[in-house]
Formats: sequence, C-alpha cells, structure tokens
Amino acid sequence: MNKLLVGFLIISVIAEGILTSLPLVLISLILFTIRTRNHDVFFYAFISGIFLDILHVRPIGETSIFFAIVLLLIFLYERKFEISSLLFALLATLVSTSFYLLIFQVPGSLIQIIFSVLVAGLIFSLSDMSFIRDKSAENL
Amino acid sequence: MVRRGSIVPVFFFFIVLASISYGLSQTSVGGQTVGIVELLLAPLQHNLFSAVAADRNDNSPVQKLQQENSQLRTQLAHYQQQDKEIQALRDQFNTQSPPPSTLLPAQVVGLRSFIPGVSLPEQLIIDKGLKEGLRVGSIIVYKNELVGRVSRSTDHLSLVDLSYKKGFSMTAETSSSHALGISKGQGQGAILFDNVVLSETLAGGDVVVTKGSQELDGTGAPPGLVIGKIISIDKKASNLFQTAKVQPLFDSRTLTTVFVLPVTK
Repeated sequence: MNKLLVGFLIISVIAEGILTSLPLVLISLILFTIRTRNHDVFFYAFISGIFLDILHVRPIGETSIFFAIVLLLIFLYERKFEISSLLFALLATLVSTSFYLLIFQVPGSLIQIIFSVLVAGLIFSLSDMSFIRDKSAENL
Repeated sequence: MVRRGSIVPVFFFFIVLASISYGLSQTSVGGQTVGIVELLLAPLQHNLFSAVAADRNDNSPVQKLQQENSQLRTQLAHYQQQDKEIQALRDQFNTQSPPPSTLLPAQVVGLRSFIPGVSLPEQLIIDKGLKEGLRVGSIIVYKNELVGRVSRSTDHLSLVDLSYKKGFSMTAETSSSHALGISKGQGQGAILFDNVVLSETLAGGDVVVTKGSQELDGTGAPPGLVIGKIISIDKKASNLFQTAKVQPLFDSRTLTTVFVLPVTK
C-alpha cells in the first residue's frame, strides 16, 4: 500500500507542478498520513513541497511549511481520535485544501475543493481495498 | 503501521529545514542552485507539457490511429511540437508590431488549469527568467496580442498572469473610436472593458488595444497590443460609465511558444 501511495505522490508532484491546479500532493500526503501514521511523511512533504515551489516559481520552502503544519495537526488529532475513516479523510481534505487554495491564491477554488474531496474519497477507497488485501495476506 | 516517538521534534526539524531552504534560496548561491535545478527540470516540464499540448490538437483520423502505437505517438508529439514552434515563430516574424527582432521567444513549460486542456488556465509558466533579462512586469505577447504579464520570476522560470486573470488590469482603448477605458480580467477567459464614459462610442466586434502603460523602470505594455474584441456592451443612461465584455483572441490552452517584450530603459 505504501508503494501505491508513494506512486500517487510522485504522479501528483508532476501533475500539480505542470498541468493541474488541483492540490493533488496535499491530498496524497493526507491520505499517506491517515493510512500509515508514519512520521516519514514529513520527509515526503518536505521534498515534494520543494519541488512544487520550484515548478510554481514560489519562494522555496513555503509549500513545505504549509504541508508540515497540516500533517502536524492531523498527527495531533490522531492522538485523541480515530482518523482511519473515510469521513475524516474527506473532512481533512476539505479543510486543508480550502486553506491551501486560499493561501496560494488559486483561482476557481470552490469547484476545486469539491473535486479534491471527491478525489480524496476515491483514493481513500482504493487504498482501503489495498489495505484490506495486505492485511489478509499478512494473516495468511 | 510504524510509530516513532513524539511528533513535535520531527515537525520542528522539517520546519527549520524548510526555513533554511527559504533563507538559502534568497542568497545568490541558493538562487544559483535553484537555477540549476530549474534547468535540469525544464526538459522534463517541456516534454510533458508538449505531449499534453499535442494531445489537445489530436483531431485527425491519422493521428487517432497513431495513438495505438506509443513509440510513434511520442515521436509525433515531438514533431508536432516543433511544427507549432516553427509556426509560432513564422507568425511572430510576419507581425510588424512589436518588431520581431526585439522579442525573446519563450517556451511554455507549465499551464496549470483545473482540468488540463479543458478549463482555461489563468497563469502559465515560461522557461525564461531573470538570467534572460525578464523581470516582474515584463509583457508577454503572441503575434501582436497581449498574452499577459510576468508576476514572479526566478533565474530560469517566470510565472505569467494571463490578461483575463482576476486582478489583471491595464489602460486600454478601442482601435476604431479610441474610446478610453480600463481592461479588467474577470477570470475564465473573460475581460471587462470598464470605466468608459457614456459619451464614447463602443460597437460589438471592435478591437480593444493597450493604451500604453510603460513604467519608469521600462516594464509595462506599449500601446497598440490587441487585448481582445468586444462581444457585448452594457450601456445604461443611469450609470456613470458604460462597460463591454471583451474576449481575448488567443487560445491559452494551445499556447506553446510566446514572446517576451524587452524591457526598455
């Protein structure tokens, strides 16, 4: 499953860097955090943020800082509440993409937020299937 | 699932790292390093963008058949890209104003829109930057049409706000009646020609051109660049001004080569 999410993250960096204004990298980082709860996600956030900043002609480090703050909030929330649910994935995507699009002044934000939530739901469901398959393989 | 220690030190480590990266990128050495990375990434960006741009123009039956063969398709995309560049250069050199000899050709390496190839982008990224003489405020044209204005620039890349982006404004006039106004970007390919006094005459189909807004530092648009054509007019006797909706003549989704106006001092 990690490979699936890392693969999605790499594709997201390329797609968001060159073609689309959808915050695909943020979505994949949120899903990566929810699924793995591994602190390595900060490293991925830092690297992908740097690449996005270069590709978007932004000050280097800006996006990485935003990603790190979002991930910290998810990890802090995870201490008290269960985060491995579709509802949390959708809510976290909704709130964080809203701030992301607002802070980085991406035009046409509302429709992009809705679309981002749909994409997050789809990827979460896909990773859910992969997660269940991995667990079954482990049990066997 | 892997869990390791407290999250706060990890968070602060990466925040400090990102801040150091920010600080370093502001220095000349850091800027040069970023410039090198930009140069290394530029071919990847350009090739990916070209492949997508070629896809958008894939209409003929021959091209549809060629999609079955991925290798041929890649070659085709490459040749199509070259053709478009040659066509763009020919068009530009057939245009007398602005003089072609003074223009700097730039490749579009990023065209971020909601749905690539379908929704209209509001910004594009070109492969020329500070090292090539661009600066914030440099004007980007295609033929004699105003495409946009540079809003951010690094050593080898620049971000261009398109003429219809929300917040983009420029003094303009109609080419036939010389009615003076302000062209204001409305987003999604729409421009509003605003602040035109009621006594002026506007007509559908009239071409709106830049009035000329050059700054003391040499940036800004020269007069006579085409902004678009009037598609509808809103004139009410009770209003202080009349307005008109203007449609740009260029299709931003298919732009692969644009031209930078030199900064005159």
